[in-house]
Amino acid sequence: MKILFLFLYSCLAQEVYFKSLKGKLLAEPKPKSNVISELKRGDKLSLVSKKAGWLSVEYDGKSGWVAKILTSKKPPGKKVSLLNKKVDLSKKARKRASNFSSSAAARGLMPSKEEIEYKMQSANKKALKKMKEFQISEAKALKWFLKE
Amino acid sequence: MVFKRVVFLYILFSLPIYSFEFRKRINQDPNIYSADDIRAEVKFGETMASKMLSKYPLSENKVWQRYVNAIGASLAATIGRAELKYYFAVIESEDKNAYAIPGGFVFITSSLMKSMTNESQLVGVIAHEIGHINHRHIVKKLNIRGQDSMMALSSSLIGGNTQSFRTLMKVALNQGMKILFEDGYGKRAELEADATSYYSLVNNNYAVSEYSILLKDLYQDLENVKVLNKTHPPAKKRIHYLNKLLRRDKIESTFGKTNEKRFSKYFNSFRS
Repeated sequence: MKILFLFLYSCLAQEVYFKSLKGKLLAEPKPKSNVISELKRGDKLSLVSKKAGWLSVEYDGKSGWVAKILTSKKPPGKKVSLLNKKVDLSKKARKRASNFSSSAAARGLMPSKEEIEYKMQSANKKALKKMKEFQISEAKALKWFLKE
Repeated sequence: MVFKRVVFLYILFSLPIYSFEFRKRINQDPNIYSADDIRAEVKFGETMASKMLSKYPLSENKVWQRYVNAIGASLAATIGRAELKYYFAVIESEDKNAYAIPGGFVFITSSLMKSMTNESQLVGVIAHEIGHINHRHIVKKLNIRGQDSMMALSSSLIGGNTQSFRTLMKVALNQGMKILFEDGYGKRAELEADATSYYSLVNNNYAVSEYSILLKDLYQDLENVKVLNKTHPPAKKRIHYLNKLLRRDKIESTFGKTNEKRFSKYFNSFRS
């Protein structure tokens, strides 16, 4: 009977994941409350109850509170990169022309290939590259941010 | 005996719920996003961001860019979606506004930067934009999905030839830009993003009141109101919502730091 009860409890217990790079398990649902334990990205927390903006959780045998905004229902994923995989949104598209494309073509509304090519090229890829170069490491930035 | 009956009845009634959940998953729950969906979002966001940069140039002020990126990366590390790389930039524009593009691209206009007086306001603005990306406001409106999804924008709307795809991409990009500059995300989405600002400010001990002051100032500028009212709810509604959250959490209006000293250090370089 005990085994059955434990099985049911484990089925019912909801889990959430800590998504912030680092943070704290707090004694009360207040930002300046006492720290019970340090948390890091990916830590699995057992959900006990909810309060506006806060979650009461259990972690490593300790009970405490975390800000809901720092958690996610699914484990935090790895950074997505487009470098290793070519993204082609049209690859699995239907093989026949859709109502949209065929009627647009019939009415002469379909822009020519050259025209679309031109519009796509008008995107400023050089500036985008420059914008990406501004990026700072999240860990480094967070250390600086929390210093003040 | 009674306990056994309770357990039996629990299992009996909970089984349909679990089977329903399973059925929902295999039928592609609209709230489940695969790695492929996220890659499609990033690809779409990159194209839209580069279009944005052809409309508005990057600010030449490196100190400004460094400061916004430092605050942005810190917020992304705590409240952002872990699977995304976030990029931040200040763009030259007379409009006092900020924009979030799918895939993790955040833009703040130079005019909005000049309206700010402390770090609390900057944190509020950046967190608001991260909120739009977290809630996938554009992704959901345009149904941007990867090639493996049954719900992919490409498979549901277009034919397989390249020209059709290009047309669709162009239409989707234009729709995305229309959301940013004309239609907005919708009032509910804006309040959702303001909630992200609120929680980020409170959790990092920043003054929520300063973010409210910035909102009030932005809506007092008559020229800017025309721009903001097209895409955002009225200032009164947004400030009322923030005050409601403060009252609910019993947080005094004087709560929080502003980090004016650090802010001035970075801002004096471009104000002069």
